[in-house]
Amino acid sequence: MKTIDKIPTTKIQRASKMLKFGSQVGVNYIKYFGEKIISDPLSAKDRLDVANAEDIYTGLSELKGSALKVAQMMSMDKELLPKAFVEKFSLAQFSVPPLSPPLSKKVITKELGADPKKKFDRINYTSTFAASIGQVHEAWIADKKFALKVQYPGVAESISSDLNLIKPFALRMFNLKSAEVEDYFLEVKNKLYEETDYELELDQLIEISSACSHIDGLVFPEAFRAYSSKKLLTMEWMEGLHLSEYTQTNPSIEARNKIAQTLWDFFMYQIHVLQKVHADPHPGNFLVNDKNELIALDFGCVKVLPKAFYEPYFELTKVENINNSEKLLELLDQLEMVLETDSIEEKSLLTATFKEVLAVLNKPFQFEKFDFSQPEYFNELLKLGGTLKDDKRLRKLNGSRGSKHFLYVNRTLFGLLGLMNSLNAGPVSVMNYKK
Amino acid sequence: MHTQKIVDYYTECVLEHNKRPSSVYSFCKDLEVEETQFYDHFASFDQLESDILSRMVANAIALATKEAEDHLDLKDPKHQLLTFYLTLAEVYKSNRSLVIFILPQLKMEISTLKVLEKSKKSFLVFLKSLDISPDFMSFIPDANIKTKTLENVAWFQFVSVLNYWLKDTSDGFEKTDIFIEKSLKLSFEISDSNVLNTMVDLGKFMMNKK
Repeated sequence: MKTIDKIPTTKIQRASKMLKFGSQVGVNYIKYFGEKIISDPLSAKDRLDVANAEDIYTGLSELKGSALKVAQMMSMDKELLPKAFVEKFSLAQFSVPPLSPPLSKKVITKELGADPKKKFDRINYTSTFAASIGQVHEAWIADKKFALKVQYPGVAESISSDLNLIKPFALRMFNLKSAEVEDYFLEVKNKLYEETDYELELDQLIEISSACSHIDGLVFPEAFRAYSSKKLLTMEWMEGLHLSEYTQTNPSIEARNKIAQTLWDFFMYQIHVLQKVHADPHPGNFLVNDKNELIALDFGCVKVLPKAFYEPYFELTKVENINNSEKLLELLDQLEMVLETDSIEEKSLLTATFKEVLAVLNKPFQFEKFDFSQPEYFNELLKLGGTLKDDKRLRKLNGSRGSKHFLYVNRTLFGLLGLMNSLNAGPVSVMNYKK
Repeated sequence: MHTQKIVDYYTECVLEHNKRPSSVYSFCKDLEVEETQFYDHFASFDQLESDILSRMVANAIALATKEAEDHLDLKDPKHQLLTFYLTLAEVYKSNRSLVIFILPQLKMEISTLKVLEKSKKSFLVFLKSLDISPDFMSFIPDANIKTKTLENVAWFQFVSVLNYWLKDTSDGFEKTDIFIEKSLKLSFEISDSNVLNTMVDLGKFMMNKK
């Protein structure tokens, strides 16, 4: 009888490839502990993150709809997640399997309330791209091109159940307790429901685009109410490159700087003047056209900033308030970052920590011009995030902290910072919006 | 001409009274036609009901075929089949009370399937016209059996869609559309792949081993 002393590795590789679709998060953990013993623990951890992110992503893209939206949201908070998670979740921002042309046609017909042929000369029923809870079709009247955003049927109804599905995942990933985050989940749920209402999106697009029409180099698509409904949004077709594609074409520093300035002014104006902000700044939602103008898309997620949140939040950008411990504590109290049940030591730990965080985070607001492309600022932010996460005293603090409004405001700000950084555009005037 | 009149009046009768007319005789008397004229077309109320259901299928087939002629993107046989089902759901929707009257809580019983016999015939003719290749069942050596199996599988899908629709409580029976989309997608993916052949191959191997 012949014996072999080890299984040929090529066979294992082949087998593992064939059975890839059977892998689960749990299996990944087993692999992780196996690898941890035999190899460098850091790289094993990275591999675990990749494997988990992949499985979660695959699962999520099948759920479509709201769960996908959550995946997108989580990918915005880069400092919260290990790098591999972010890379995989970012995929969620792009395509998922589309609806078949026949069903697209049925949905469009239903939402238009008439034969599409009566409204448009031609519609391409094969979708051009996916938009997480919907997909976009091209349509024409004579030479004018339109974008028809069609919502997947049944999405609005499935939000609750999808969220319940993803909740245990999210809780485990962020190491949270269910009762502590009920408020946050409610905020996410409400925002997701809002995003399923395309009539609301149309109103928000019209409101923000008319309020921001004075901003130089900023363009919005025109929306057509007569051809829209709760589940169908008809807009002018905008030609342009996604922000991430645009930076790859190596535009001149002047061109990039102009885009970055416009983007920054747009957000500062929304936050400080309108107190109502486009809360989904990821590269897929902005285009640059051939005149080097910025096009803002997707107004489904708009965060209204209540005064009780806006005021203390932006008071924190002032150096004099940060350096005044009493004032700082008062502001943190208003933002629900310190709780009444905290002891004096806990309170002083929190104020000291925030002093440190805010000193870094608020840097851009201390200057007239700020260069978001310099890596030092972001490295400092990431490093700070890392040390805070590892701080045992902070981890011991109980209760969930921070007003629920932080969720979308932070997502907006970090998303914006990420976009500003990726434009690599040199110094930008910080307070331009006041002009 | 008479058949349309009979169908219309029968529909009216059952929807108004929520029960069948007491006899063909009284039905014809009310309609003012000769009883023989009824029997020329239908042997019984059962046959009439079967005919009504198949008219709905024919209606959906006609619309789906026209769609395919009008739109290049819907010409593909798979898209035609999808269009057919989505249209059928609409046709059923506009006749829901009648369909529910004819198919009270459809169970997979011989009697209810009998009522669907004419629908089945129309549907299978349509399916044949789409010319879907049964290659994914190449483990079946006989071409006739292959076609028969394809028909049975397709018919089972038809009944399961109908079944889902009857129980659907979502607004506008939107969930039926999703069910159609997802269940057909699965069937197409199986038929486009070699997975069935692979499974049978494994099965044969395991059987031989014993």
